Amino acid sequence: MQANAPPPIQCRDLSRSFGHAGARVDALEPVELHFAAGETTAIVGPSGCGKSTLLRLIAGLDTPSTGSVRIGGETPLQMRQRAALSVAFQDAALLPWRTVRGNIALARKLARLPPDPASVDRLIALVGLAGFEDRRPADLSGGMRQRAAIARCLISDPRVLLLDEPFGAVDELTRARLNHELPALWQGRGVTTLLVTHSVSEAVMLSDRVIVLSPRPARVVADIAIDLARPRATGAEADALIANVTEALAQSAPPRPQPA
Amino acid sequence: MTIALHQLRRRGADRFYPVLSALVALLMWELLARVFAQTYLIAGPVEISRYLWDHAGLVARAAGITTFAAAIGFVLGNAVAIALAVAAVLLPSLARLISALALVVFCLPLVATGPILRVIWGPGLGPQITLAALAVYYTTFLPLMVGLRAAPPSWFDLVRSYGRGRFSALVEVRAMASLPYLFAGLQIAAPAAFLGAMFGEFTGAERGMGVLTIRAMRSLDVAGTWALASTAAAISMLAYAGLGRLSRALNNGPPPLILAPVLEGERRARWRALLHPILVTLILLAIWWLSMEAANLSPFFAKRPADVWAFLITAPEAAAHRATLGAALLETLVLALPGYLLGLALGLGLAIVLVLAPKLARGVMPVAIALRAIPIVITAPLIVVALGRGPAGTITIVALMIFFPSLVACYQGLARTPRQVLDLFDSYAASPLRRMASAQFPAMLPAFFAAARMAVPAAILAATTAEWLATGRGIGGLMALTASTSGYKMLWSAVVVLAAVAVAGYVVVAQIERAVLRIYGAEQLTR
Amino acid sequence: MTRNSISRRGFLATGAGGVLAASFGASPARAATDVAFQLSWLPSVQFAGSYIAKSRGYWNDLGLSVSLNPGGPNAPVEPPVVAGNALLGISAADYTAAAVAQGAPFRIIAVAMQKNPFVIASLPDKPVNVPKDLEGRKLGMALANTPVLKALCSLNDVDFDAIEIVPTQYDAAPLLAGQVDCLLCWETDLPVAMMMRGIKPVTMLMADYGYALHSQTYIATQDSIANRRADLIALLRGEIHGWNDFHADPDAAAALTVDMFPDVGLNLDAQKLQAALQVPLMFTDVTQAHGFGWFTDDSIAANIKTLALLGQDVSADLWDRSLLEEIHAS
Repeated sequence: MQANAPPPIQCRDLSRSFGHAGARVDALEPVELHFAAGETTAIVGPSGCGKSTLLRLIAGLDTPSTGSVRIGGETPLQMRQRAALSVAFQDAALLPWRTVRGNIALARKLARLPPDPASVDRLIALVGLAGFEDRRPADLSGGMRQRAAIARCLISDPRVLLLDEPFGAVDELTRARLNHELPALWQGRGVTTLLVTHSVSEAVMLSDRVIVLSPRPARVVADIAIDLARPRATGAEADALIANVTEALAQSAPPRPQPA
Repeated sequence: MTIALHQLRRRGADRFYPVLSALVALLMWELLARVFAQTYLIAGPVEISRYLWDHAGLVARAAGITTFAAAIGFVLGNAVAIALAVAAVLLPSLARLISALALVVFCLPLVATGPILRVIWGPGLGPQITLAALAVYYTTFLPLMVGLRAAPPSWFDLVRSYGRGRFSALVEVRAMASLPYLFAGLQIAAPAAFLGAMFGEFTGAERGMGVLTIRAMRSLDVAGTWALASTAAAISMLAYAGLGRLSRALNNGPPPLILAPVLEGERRARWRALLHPILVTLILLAIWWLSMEAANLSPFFAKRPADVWAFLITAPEAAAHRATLGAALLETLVLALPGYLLGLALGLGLAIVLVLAPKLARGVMPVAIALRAIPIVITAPLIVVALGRGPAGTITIVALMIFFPSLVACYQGLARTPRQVLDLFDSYAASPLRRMASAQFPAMLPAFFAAARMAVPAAILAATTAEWLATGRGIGGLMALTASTSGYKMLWSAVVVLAAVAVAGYVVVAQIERAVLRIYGAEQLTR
Repeated sequence: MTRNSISRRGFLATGAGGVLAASFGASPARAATDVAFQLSWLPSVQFAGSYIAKSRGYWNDLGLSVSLNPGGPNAPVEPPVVAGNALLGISAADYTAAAVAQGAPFRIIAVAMQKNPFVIASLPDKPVNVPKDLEGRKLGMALANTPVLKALCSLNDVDFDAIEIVPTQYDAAPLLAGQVDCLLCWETDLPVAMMMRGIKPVTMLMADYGYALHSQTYIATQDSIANRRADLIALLRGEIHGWNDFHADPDAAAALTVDMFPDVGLNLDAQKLQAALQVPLMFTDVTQAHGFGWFTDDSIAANIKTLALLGQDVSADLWDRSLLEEIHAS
């Protein structure tokens, strides 16, 4: 596998259950999944269905109960150890005692890459945080924090990007703007991207493919290709796909109404 | 503590309250001193100032040497605490063992460890430094254990997502995340180090605050005794305030909940739960025996585990020994327990009153912090002299030792009630009392129990110190007596029993804590 | 009988013979041997003889470099001597007996306080002049001293149960505050503190009522007595020399003590008073006849009797006069 090319991701018989014999909870039923190299795939499903579990298993942050994950022939651990993988977390996970600049630079340090202040500042400008380099996370809005987190993900120039509801804690307006601005940053960089989200429109707007999971234990109930030109804008075509995904989501759920 | 000072500082406009309350306190103090001038009990601020003026050089030299020993002990003890906590975090399988060993060592009574340290170190500052270190390491270790784990899981995931391990997590996440906790611990440790150094001087020294205090108390030098107490308190408060300032300079937020309960190991199998105390006991006995053999300590005074076993269990007079020890222990516990409960209740009660009457808090909290910094070596005899040598004096000393930390912890805990929860109560126009009962009180429980756990060894220390220095009764009196009459088998037995009682008390409080927090839902309270 | 014994300050019999004797046998050329001497309390004129010996070079002249280890309220005294960290220690007959009962191989080799310094101190308006006066009074004392009081009672036919014991720390305040009628204490400390405050207490010396117990005794292990005899003898010689100087001029000894320990907070007048009070306890007809530190077979017998009342069975083997005999014979 060429080091700089985006790798495909292969999940074989992947499952995760928690607890012991008596009180066993299946978070993820065995799934077979393949994500093509360089593609952006959105994973949608109802709250608590195991989306994040799937992502964590792919990142190697959690150990599968059965099955395996191969990323371009390597294990997730090997990928992580050569800093070819970045994760964006729901809560941004910025360290409060570091500035924006410091948080982004930390990723290079953790990835054992040489410091690169110029790239750090360029990325900060790119995500629209110029002028906030020396602010701490507490001084930033939710949207600004997520921008900083995305910048941190990109500073190590990863081949695999795992986004765990990165805009989940951001208001709808900001979210729409981030959806519009940020994907351009990694699309075209040659990155295999997985995006976990519970927003159908976000999934359609950002990805090449949407996978719909059922409520826990998660199964794949739909696998929808999104053939929309980029840059994307809302319109009839997008609305139709959104309706498609929403339909699949509704059918995956049991007949009783889901609590919010 | 710092949170309270912090809030005061924020409302910088009305610094008026602390100044006023300090003035009122000084005035009342002077009045009391004048009223009781003939009893040789109290010296007022005027007399104290005069003494300090006349003996400036003497007191400065003594304060210098004691502060020096306390500072070295402070640094060493905290270094050990940090090392232990880091080891416990890096080697999670050893964490419980390390915590248990640290607790037991902390529970060893100073009355007994002091002379042993003097024999080991010989003349000089050795025992002063060691006792200062012993006095501080646990109050740093415990909050640090919490602080090193007080980070959201995603921060650790972040580190792991780049393939880095425990060490990177320690350096990049835990170290900084624990700083506010570390400083909260260091602040508590500062007065404790001074106390430890003074105790060390009692084992034989030619200079220092402890030496001067003994001298002054024996020669009816009331002004001197109070001047020394005030100086010791002032130094402790300076260290306390300085560390708070340093903490803020390092841009720490206000210290988070101190000593949140470490609810780990729930999944432990039953047999391990049973095995653990046995293992800890065996390791302790091994350390005890090996360290004495290694230091080649004379069996005349350095009794080994087998000596204590023989003395209490197998010797022909073992039953009589147990009876003596048991009676002394009972005498101590009968006073320590009410003092413990009273101190906790007063701390809790005053914290609630202060939250309901915030203006009062601005005046009272600084005074409470100031009083907390006065070493027990000095307060114990004064209180006993003032309240008499009956149960009231000892109970008051124990209560006082526990009252201040409990007050501060409870006050901070109450202040940590989530804003949204308070807004919810406000939106229903709930009365302050209702809000207290339903929102603030439950939110405070973890802090309260943390204080209650730490208060167990503190209560025993206070009771035995009062007995040793003032009343001569109980197990503290027994230890002092046996130390002077070479009854080392009894002394070591008393040490073992006392440490066991302290650990047992700690475990009991931890169990109650677990049960109560389970009902109140710890998960929503501790974050 | 009151013993506000400033009147005894004139008591100035010098043991000049002892001073001369102590100087013999010195060989200054010899490299100084390091030895430690464990004192029993904080620095004060109580140990002025040792301070004199040290500051005037008496030990140096005898080839010793002596470190004087201070005691304190929580200081170990017997253990450093057992452990060999200190060659010589200051104890008291009852503490020594207790240590020996616990297996310490001690011998008392000299006695500084011929008369036990314990007194019953009271105020003149309600004095305790004789032991019988204790009945019906409130006595402040450390509970640890209960055996001492019991011994005094049985020696003088006093009803122990008629005394109300109030456990106090070692402090004169309870007496002055009226919480107790009298105190069990040393003649040389709490009464001095009271006198320095202008209060003249009545003191009843228990030694005058049969309480015979050597105090401020010099202890060494049997091993040291056998194997480090020369060092011990030199140490005692210097000590005796120092105490004879003390006897000659207690005020000077007090001044020296205050000078030597500027950080202990000693008051010169109080130290002079204490020095004066301790002269009659340390220098008696016995020391007049035999030299400082001596003890007679009679006093050993009396001590054994008192120790028995304290619940301690000892034989005359606890005392070893051979070193003193060697010193005073030469």
